[in-house]
Amino acid sequence: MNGSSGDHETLWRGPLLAWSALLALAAISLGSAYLPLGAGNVAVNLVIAVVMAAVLAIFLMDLRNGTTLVRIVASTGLFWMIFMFVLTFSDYLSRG
Amino acid sequence: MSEMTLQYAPTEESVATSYLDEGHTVLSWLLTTDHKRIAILYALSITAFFFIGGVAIGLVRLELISPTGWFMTSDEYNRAFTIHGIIMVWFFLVPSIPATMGNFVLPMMIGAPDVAFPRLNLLSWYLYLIGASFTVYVLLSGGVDTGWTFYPPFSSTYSHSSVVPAAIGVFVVGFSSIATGVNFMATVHLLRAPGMTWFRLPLFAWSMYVVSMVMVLATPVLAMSLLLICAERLFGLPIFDASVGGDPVLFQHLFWFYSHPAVYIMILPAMGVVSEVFACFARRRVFGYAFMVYALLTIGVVGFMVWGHHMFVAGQSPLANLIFSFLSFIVAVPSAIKVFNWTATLYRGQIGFEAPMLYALGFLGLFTIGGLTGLFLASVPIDIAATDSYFVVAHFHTIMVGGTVSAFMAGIHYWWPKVTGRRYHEFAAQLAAIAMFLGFNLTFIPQFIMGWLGMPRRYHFYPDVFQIWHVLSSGGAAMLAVAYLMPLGYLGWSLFNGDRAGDNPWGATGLEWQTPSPPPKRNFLRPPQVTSAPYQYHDIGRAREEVEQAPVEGRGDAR
Repeated sequence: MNGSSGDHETLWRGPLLAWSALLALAAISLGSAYLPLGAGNVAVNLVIAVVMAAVLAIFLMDLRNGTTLVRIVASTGLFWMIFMFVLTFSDYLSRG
Repeated sequence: MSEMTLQYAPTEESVATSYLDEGHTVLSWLLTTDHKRIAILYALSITAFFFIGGVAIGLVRLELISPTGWFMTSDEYNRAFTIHGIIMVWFFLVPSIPATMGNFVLPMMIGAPDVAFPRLNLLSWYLYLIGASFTVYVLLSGGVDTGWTFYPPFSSTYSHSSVVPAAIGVFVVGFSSIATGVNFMATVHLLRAPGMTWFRLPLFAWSMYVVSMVMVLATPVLAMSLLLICAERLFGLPIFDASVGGDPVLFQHLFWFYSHPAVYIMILPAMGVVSEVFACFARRRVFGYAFMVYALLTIGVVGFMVWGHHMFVAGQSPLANLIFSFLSFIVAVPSAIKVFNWTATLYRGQIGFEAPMLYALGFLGLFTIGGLTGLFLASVPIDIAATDSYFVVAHFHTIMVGGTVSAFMAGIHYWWPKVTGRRYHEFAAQLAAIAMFLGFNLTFIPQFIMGWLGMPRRYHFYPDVFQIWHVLSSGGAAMLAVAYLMPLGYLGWSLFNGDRAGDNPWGATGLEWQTPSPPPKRNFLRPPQVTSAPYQYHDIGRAREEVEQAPVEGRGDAR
């Protein structure tokens, strides 16, 4: 980074666009709650959540330009989330 | 990587001033990015909170001398033990070793001039202070009565105390943990000195690396669960409220997904500290170094999969109870490996009983007791009987206080000469170490007994039959208080009157000892070159004390 104004614009443009996309997706998520989709509400919100996570990882965390090591470190977060979901569902899916 | 170019202190002795002499104004401390000064800032902050949390539990122990209570209402009692828990967990134990000793020693141990992100390091301390300010506000506004676990529906619906400020305080201080974790991971990956391969890292450095992973991966879940509590309490969002379709047990899953690994955030650094101390004061290579590393990593990973053992009576399904019970037994295996390896390290060692070693030996005994009683609680039938009893209280204090605080004190005494350049009064320190061990046992062995007999936690009215155990426990707590206050006296005295320590008073082999005491701002006078594995004490032995200042061979070439 040489500190020129052009570089600063490049630096900020991506995260700003990603942030805007996240806000838009949050608004869509909120709006979808008022639609009478039944079980479809859950599906729509899960899809939106996955898109939001992807935007976060690819653009805000800049994994598209990350080194292999950084991508491996980031992916551990995914594994840990799997631990959390699998073991939590070992409770919810087996309750009497 | 250009931002991480290694910059060491100039080789001219005349300009290699100690980090303590790099500025004497308040601003020079508040705006410092030197990892060593930030460690001092953290040490002062967490010490203050340690004593605030200590006063809270001192009041609780006084109250429990009488079976009918004598100076607190039930509400005040609830608030006293809650603030004790919140302060001790998040404002003392979690940051204790990583933010102080980790900050001070880790970069030096790996041959680096600073951490990877010095400004982020300072920011983490300010985040700690902001979180701490919320907690002080909670104290001044009358406290919070939910217990440190913030369980709904009490925290979300019924409590009339300062739940939201308390949760925000913990939320903010969590980011301090995350910042420290990110910084340490990057530091270990990127700033190791030439020759410092992964399997030449001292075990304390490994413990900092593993605990950083745990902090980064677990803390966001705590932040999320506390935000959800705030959302439900402030805006009525139906997340945990069963009357509108929510599930209070979900909070417990999320909370313990962080808070059980938080136990490892407390104990893994302690394991790192005592590994350094045992090797140094037994003049022995750490037995089974590779297994010690793998055990740290295994604890770090498997420790994430056992949280459900906190919920055996919370309505969790029998299948989940079975799975979490099994995994909880599994996580004991690497812990046991470490205990056996420390013991084997001591075997046939030239053991010296200086204060750091006494504290470390205290750790070994107490961690073993705490670990074995943990196995009791991993068993579903026993846990069902012992849940919410003093047995549980004694168990987790034996790990978190008997273990972590013993190791914290071991580390403080071990690295004190490096941090300050001064020796402390050895006999006074040995007395404090012994007093702490005896005081701890006098406090918590009665709690194990009365818990096994059925005394529930969180009650200040209790049957007369338990009074003898409560009185003994309170007497032990008084002894512990003396043991905690003593170091303030003799360490404070040594700051001004202690003998000069020299660069390496223990004859230790770590890179941090191959630099002046106190170290210069950039740690080393010239870049260190690592040429061998850690803990090469066999070649030196205790005889080295008699040939004072003979160079320590083989471990580095920093001076």
